[in-house]
Amino acid sequence: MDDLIVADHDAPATAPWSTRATAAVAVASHRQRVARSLPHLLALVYGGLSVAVVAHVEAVPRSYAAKSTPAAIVDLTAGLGLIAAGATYTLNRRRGSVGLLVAMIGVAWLSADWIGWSDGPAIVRSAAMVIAPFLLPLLVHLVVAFPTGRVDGRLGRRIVAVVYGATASVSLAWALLRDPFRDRYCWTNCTDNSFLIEAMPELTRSLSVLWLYVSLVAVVALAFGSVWRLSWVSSAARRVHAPALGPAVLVALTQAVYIALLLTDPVESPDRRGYAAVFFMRAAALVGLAAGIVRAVLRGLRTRRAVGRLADDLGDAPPPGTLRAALARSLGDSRLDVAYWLPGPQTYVNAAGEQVDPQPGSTQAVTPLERNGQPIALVIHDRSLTATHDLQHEIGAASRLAVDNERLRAQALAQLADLRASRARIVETADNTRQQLERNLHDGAQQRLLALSYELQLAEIDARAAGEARLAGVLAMAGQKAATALVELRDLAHGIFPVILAESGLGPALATFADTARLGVEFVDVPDSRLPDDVETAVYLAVTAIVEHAANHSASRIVGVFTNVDKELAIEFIDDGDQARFQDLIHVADRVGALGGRINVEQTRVQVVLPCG
Amino acid sequence: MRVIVADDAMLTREGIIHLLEASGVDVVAQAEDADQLLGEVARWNPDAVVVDIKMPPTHTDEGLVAAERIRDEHPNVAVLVLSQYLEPSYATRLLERHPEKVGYLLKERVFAAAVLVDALRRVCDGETVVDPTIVSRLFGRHRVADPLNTLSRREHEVLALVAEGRSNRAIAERLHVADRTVEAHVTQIFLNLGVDTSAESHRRVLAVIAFLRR
Repeated sequence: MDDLIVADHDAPATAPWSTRATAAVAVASHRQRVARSLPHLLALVYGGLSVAVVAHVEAVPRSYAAKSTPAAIVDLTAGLGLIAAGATYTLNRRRGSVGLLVAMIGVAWLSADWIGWSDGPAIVRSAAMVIAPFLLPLLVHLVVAFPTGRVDGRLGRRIVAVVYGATASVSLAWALLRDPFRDRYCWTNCTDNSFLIEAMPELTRSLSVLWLYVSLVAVVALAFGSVWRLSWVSSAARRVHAPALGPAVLVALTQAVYIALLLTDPVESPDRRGYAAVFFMRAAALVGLAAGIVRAVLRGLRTRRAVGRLADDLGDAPPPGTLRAALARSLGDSRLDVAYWLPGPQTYVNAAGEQVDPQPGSTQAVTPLERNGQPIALVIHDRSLTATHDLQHEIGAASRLAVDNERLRAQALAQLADLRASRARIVETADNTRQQLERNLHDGAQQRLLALSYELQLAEIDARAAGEARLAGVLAMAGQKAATALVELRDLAHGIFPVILAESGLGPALATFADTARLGVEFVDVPDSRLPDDVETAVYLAVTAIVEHAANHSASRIVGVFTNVDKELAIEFIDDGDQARFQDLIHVADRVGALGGRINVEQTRVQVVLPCG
Repeated sequence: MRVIVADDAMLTREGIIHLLEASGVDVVAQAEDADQLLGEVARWNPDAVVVDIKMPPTHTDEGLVAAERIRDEHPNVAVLVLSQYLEPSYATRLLERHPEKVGYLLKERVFAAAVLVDALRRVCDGETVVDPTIVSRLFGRHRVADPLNTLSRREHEVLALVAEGRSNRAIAERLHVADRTVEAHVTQIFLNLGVDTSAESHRRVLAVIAFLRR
């Protein structure tokens, strides 16, 4: 089974000529991995240093963290938690910027501690002041880009760009124009701004107020946007989105409270109860966000492990469709579907072997599974799963045995269905031929015999009128023979196909059959309503064959009891005299089987079951 | 007796007409399908109609449907249905709706002019006609503990004639006995077989057929 390779656009093909390309790609991906890990390493170092900065308690606290030990713990848990969660996320995903964004939110949060490091280098505090405002655009970017890390759609890209641009402009203006010493509400770093060119206290104050209003609108919009996104996606996508977007709503709301507080009461201080409380709320919300990201990572790992274990879970002989159900369960996507490719008839079938047209819905995506460049199956799943799973890899590597098993079984089932259909067609053709034969006898031979009888009759009358008694006698005899031929022909035609069956249904046709049967026959509860033609014909011919069989096997009286339940017509034949010995009724079994029915033969009773309707 | 003949096969139709006219029956019109027949009946208001069970367009039971309509719309017109099918179900279907002035004859009878004309007379007189072959087939049906075995030979004969749709008087004539005797036979037979005797005389045909098919 090792030859089963799943197509992956990232992974190279296994053909020999591509060995060098494989090596090149391997080197490239190694370099890429280092490049992706580096910012996280730096963020972790930064986080560690932040602990040192917070621990370096000042006489006058210049940050919330410096105010009390609980505040320091919450503050660092939020910041370090986000940095660690971001690193974990990046380690577990091949693509996307979500991990980095989360880590950067942690960095921006912790920058407050660096600003308040009053005896630290001025340039460090000044740089931290530049970083701090970016908490807002990073949060917006995370919500828009989660979970793929890509920002899809023009509107999303525009929103993210505008928020980053506005933040950068404000941050730059503060860096160049704000002299903290002359800011009357200053409480953190009130001494140094290394980037100051010209102090413009009034302008920077107005800019600050404007920025607060803009931020307030932005965070409220963010909260609504997150809730809206959660409520409009499929349930499978919601499971993926909720761990990050849920806490993001809380972060946005706590930020909104903080900004509103700043606008109504600009004198911020960790000593003031309101501000301290809001700080704890903000920090707690960020801890929640970090926890949500970790949860998303764990969920992904768990799912991947579950998909990896599929083959074990399925057991030795799982019923058809088990793979689909197991995948749907593992990935939390109830609409997930698997279509297997049959190279012979060039079609896709489901696990039951029925032909399907694999069309993904508007919120779905298709992942092809291939072997040696040949398609073997398609997985149709929620689009959100592509963000968090590399299904081509995970399904292929983990459950190749299961996929192959299901496909082979689907193939067998499809062939079986074909065979059944062809058997049904053969029987149908035979029945149509019978009916046609009856019609031909009736419209052709019978009519001609009638005409012959008539002419013989006329000739006889003429002969009698001419006084030729002998000739008249011969003609009368011939007329009688013609009449006998007519009777025999009528019986023959009726035996081939009783017209009354097609015209009036089973009840009248079986009643007529009972009139002429070689033994006593009684039918109980024959369905009054008409059944499909093929079912009626099959039932009629099965019944007549079984009654004939019973007559040949010394039955004296046969009772046929009909029951029509759950679209299944069952007929139970019992020999009233308990003398019949039913033997194999292979011709009946063939006919009944062609319609998907079955026959059970016991010594003194026979049961025929046919699907109808 | 004014009659309309309906059969889609020209040869048969001409044959029937020839025989009827030779027997002094006045054939006022002919038709080759059910619609034409209904039109001619409305136009001529005949005493009786001879109609083939199979006619265009589907060649299934158009004749039977037309017969039912004629009996519905023109109660004074008797209908004799000719059929190539030895199907008691068709006969009972015809009788169930209109138990009088209808008849079901096998097609080969039509060339025995006497039988055809006799049947026409009978339906015109308000009797019912069921082909003797059908009746004898029903008599031949396999039964466990056959109640027909309790009947005498004469009773057998009487019952068969009842099933063919004959009146007591006709049966009496045929068997050369008094009407009273036939009445007594019929009462005794129905009593023995448990057939509901309260049925009106023209309903008794159906009752007997239903009994025979039980």
